[in-house]
Formats: sequence, structure tokens, C-alpha cells
Amino acid sequence: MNRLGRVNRWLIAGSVALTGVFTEAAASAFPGRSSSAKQAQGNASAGATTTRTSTGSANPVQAPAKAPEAVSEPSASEPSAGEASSTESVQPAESSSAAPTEETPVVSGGS
Amino acid sequence: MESVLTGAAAGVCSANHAEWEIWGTKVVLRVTAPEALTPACEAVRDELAAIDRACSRFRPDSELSAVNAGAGRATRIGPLLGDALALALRAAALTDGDVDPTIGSALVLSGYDRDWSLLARADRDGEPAAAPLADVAGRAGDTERSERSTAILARRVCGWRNVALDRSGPTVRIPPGTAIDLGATAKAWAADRAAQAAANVGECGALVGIGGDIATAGIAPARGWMVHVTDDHRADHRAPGQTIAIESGGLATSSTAVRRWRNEGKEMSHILDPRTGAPVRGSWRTVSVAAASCADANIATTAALVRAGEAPAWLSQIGVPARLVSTGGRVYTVGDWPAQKNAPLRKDAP
Repeated sequence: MNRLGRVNRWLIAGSVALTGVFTEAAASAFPGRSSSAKQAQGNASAGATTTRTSTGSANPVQAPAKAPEAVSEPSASEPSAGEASSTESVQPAESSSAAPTEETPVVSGGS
Repeated sequence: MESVLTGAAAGVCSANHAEWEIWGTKVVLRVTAPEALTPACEAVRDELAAIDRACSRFRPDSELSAVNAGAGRATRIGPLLGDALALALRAAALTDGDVDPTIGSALVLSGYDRDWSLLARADRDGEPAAAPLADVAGRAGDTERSERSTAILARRVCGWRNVALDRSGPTVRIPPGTAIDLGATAKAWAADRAAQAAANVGECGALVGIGGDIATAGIAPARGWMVHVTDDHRADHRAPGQTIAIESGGLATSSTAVRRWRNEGKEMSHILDPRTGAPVRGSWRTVSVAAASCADANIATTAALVRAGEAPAWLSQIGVPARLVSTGGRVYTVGDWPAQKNAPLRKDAP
């Protein structure tokens, strides 16, 4: 009976020790969220102050459901066939004597 | 945002089109059902009046003025100002502070301390504008005063992270010496709200443009809403630029070519870099962006002017179609912005 009790004590002690070993091994294999979250937060903080990137917490800017479409029109700034690139000059606005119609574009410009 | 100084009646330009002045700028209303024009006009004017009472920096009786006057303590606000502030703080978060509502003090110091129509008139007539910046900078040589002025401007932008908005109150607290200005976001947001109000009351499609910030609601016309993007929203639709069609959402254009004045001989503009408190000096003259809402589009255009050379990559990253005009007049596009017909466009930014 005494031997049985001693064996039991050794079994319990051994089990506890093995549990500790397994725990260490698991912690090494799977570091967990707390420490890496802190590390990520630290990186994000540093990132927010040193790099100008958008933060992910606010609802992002949304693109339109459909992109704008080009409209054929004669343009005052339309380059000649020989020009390689489009250049837009700052010109005084021309006043329109005709009342705007449904087809007259609405102007989007600085204000 | 300036106060509603004008009680100008809506000028009806055609069966489905009205225009009038507000906040030193032009309002345009278009509806797809002519019979809806009158009630839509009323709905838009009511909406803008409510926003003015809540959000104007220039009205002494506005909620925002009370917030600015009470800097350092929590001020109770209404839901409308709460929404406007939430949007402004969202814009700051999305742009890492390129669009920052705490630039109010810097704007005042730069001379933008009154309704734009009054400031523009004073500047045009050569009247000496109030020059608080020069006064604060003190008597010194031009170079030293310029450097001191720049440093003062920078310190007056306390940063959006110091704004404590409690939506449950709702209350807001800003640090002492700070002033909120919602000009970078509220006009476009107002256009969104006004367009929706017009579409709701008229049960039709509606477009509202406020100072060039375009918002749409409801079902668009068959060919879409025709919009001409150019430097100045007061320009004719034949001014240099590009005409495009949009079906929904919003379109905003920001430009450093307009809303400029002189303060103690220094050229100033209304788009400030929050990091310096000084007018932006970057690669772009004018930026246009299309987005799901006019508010989103305006966040992008303002930030693009501040970001300068980084703007095209950032606009591409957030996935919005954009058109950028450099200070030299070259046109660039980002994403799905359509090529200008009969004119090749550059995709490689400077």
C-alpha cells in the first residue's frame, strides 16, 4: 500500500511536470494574440506617425457604383493633332448669354 | 462655411434647373421632374439653412461658434453638428490628418476671418484686410516675420486627435486656443444631404451642386448627369476642362486657383496644410474625384492637394477615379477616370 501511494505521488508529480513541458512547447509553437497584438499596435503607432497612410478604423472612402463616362464635346483647350499631351490653360471664364438647358453641363470647379 | 448672408430667391433658369447664392458660392439644383423643382428648391434651402445654423464658423449664433467660444470645456451640441464633426474626424482619420478640422485658428490668422464674399470684395478693392497674423508676428524684418508667422500658424493647428466628440451627449470639447472649421468637409456633406432631401420631396432624381461640389440622389437622367470639371466652379461649361457623365454618387473638385487673397503682401489660399498651417504649395492646381458620395469625393480632393506628389498613388490605393491638373497645366488621370475624347492624357504623374 505504501509502495502504491509512493507510485501515485510520483505519477502525479510526473504528470504535473509533463504538463509544464507541453505548455512551454505549445507557447513556443503558437505565441498567442496578446504579445503579438501589442507588437502590432506598436508598429501601427509608429507607422501612423512616420508614414502617411490611411488608417483602417474609419469607414474608407467609397468609389462610385459606376465610373464617370466621357462625353464628346468640342473643347477650348483641345490640342492639335501634332501635340503629344494634353495641357490645360487657365483662361478667364466665358459668360454664357443663353439660359442653361437640361443638356447644359453643371460645372464642378474650385470655390 | 460662411453664414447665409443672402436671402436671394432661387433663380429658376429652366423648367428643371435653379441657381442661387449661398456661403459666398453658387448653388445649383437640377431635377428630373420639372413639377418637383419648386418643392425641391424649398427642401434644399431648408436643409442648407439648418446646416448653416449648426456649422457656420462665421455666425455668432451658430452651434459651432459656441463650441469654438467654449474651447477647453465640453459643449453640448445638436445631432446635425454631431454628424458634421463625426464626418470631419473621419476625414482626418482617413487622410492621416491631411484634412483636419482644427485649422480654424490658422485660417483666421491667415486673414480668412469673415464670409468669403466680404473677404473677396475687400481683396478686390485693395482694402487692407485685417492682418492678425502680422500683428501676432510683431514688428520685424520681412524674412523674420515670415518665419515667425509660419511658426505661429503651425502651432495654431492643435490636431484632430485632440477633439473629444461624445456622440452620446452629444458634446464636444476642443483644447483652448483651438477653433474648428468644417469648410473642408461640410459643404460637400451639405450637398449630399440637400440632394437627398430634394429627391425625397420631389420623388425624382436630383443633383445639387454647392460651390462645385456635386451630389446626386435618385435615378439619373437617361444619359446621366453632365458635369464639366474645370478650375473655377463659376466658370462657363465651355471653360478649359472636361465634360463627363455620372450616374450616381458625388463628384468634387478642389483647386488652389480660386479663393485666394493677400495678407500683408503674402499670397494666401483657403486650402491649408495642417502640418504647417500655411497654404499648400504642391504639384497640383486642380483635382477632381468621383466617389460614392460628394463628401467622400471632397475628402479625396482636399487630401490630394495636400499630399502633392504622393496624391496619385494614394488615390489609386483608395480606388477612386480622379483627374489631376498640375500647376503647369498638364492633365493626369487615376483609376477609371475616362480619357478626354480627342485629347490623349498622361497617366504618369510628375
